[in-house]
Amino acid sequence: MTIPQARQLGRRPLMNLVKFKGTPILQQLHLEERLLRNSSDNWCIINDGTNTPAIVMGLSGKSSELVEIRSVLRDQIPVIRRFTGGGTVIVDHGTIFVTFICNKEAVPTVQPYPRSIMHWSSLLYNEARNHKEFLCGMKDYLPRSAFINKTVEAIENHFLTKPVNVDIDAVTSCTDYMHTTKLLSEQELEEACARGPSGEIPVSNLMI
Amino acid sequence: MALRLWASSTANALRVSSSRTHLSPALSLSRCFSSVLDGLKYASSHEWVKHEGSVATIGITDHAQDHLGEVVFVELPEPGGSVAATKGFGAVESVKATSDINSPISGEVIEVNTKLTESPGLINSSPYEDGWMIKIKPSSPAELKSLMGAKEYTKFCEEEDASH
Repeated sequence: MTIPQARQLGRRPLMNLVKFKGTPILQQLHLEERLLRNSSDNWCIINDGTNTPAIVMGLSGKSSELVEIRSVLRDQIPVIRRFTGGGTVIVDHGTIFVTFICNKEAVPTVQPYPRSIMHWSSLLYNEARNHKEFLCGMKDYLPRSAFINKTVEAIENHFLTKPVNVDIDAVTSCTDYMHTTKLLSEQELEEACARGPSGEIPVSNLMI
Repeated sequence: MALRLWASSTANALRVSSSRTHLSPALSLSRCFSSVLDGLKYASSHEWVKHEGSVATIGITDHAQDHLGEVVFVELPEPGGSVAATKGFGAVESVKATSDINSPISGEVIEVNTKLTESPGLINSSPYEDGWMIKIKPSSPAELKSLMGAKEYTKFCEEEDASH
């Protein structure tokens, strides 16, 4: 087990807080992947909307199974396969992204497993929303900016936050790191469409 | 498992049901209801090693699969590659997360469980048998000495669960 690099003041561990607005989700994911793999600090990234709608699949996502490829190609919707697991989401300017990248010891009561992490984060968001049901139309209760501010306040109850300015263009343009997160090309989508969910190329499409 | 760091980019109160592994008389039952096999060695990152002669088989424990939830995808190395003790060699994706899998010992990968491509759920249903992940030729068998035995690992799991 590694000893966390994050310094602690009092009882709250240090958390680097990065805030963006309208940053492309692909760039955000590239940054997060770099931080997860290369930094031993705790990080919270908040992005108020992404600049263009996109479909984001999990690590093992197959576009032929999860995406209406013809429609996506016609409408020029980016399809991204991210480095983390889980399901497929559609994101756009209306999405508020909140990401935590933490050392195991940062929150001692939380085990590094999905249920434990999701339970902890649901409690944190309940602090921000002051609302019992998580699945509801948030716009009916809170303006976006208020939710983001209250989320930061809730985070500060658990961490000592340190605002960090990140030049995301400079960081993600470095070619020293091979990202797992990738934007699927038009060719890859076309090939996936031709293969279909079975993964096999129909006989009629084969060059014989 | 990548226990040093975790990342969460969702907030969802969904509950993932836990699975109970079928127990045989050869298994030790821990108080946390995850099974632990005698005769295996265990890493604190919840992988197991079965050393038989010049071959070591590696997988993740019942405790790990239970906490992860339903496994939907497994990323494994190619035969011929090498793995290093405590370093990641693959990843396992469950419904809500992806976790790195760390090798308990170093060696050369000689076989990979290809059944996991079509049936990743074998890791949930049979973590110590059909759900094995890789077989390696250990390069430093002495590394096994630093791993935990069944009783020690059982206690480790109980203490870990109790502290959270």
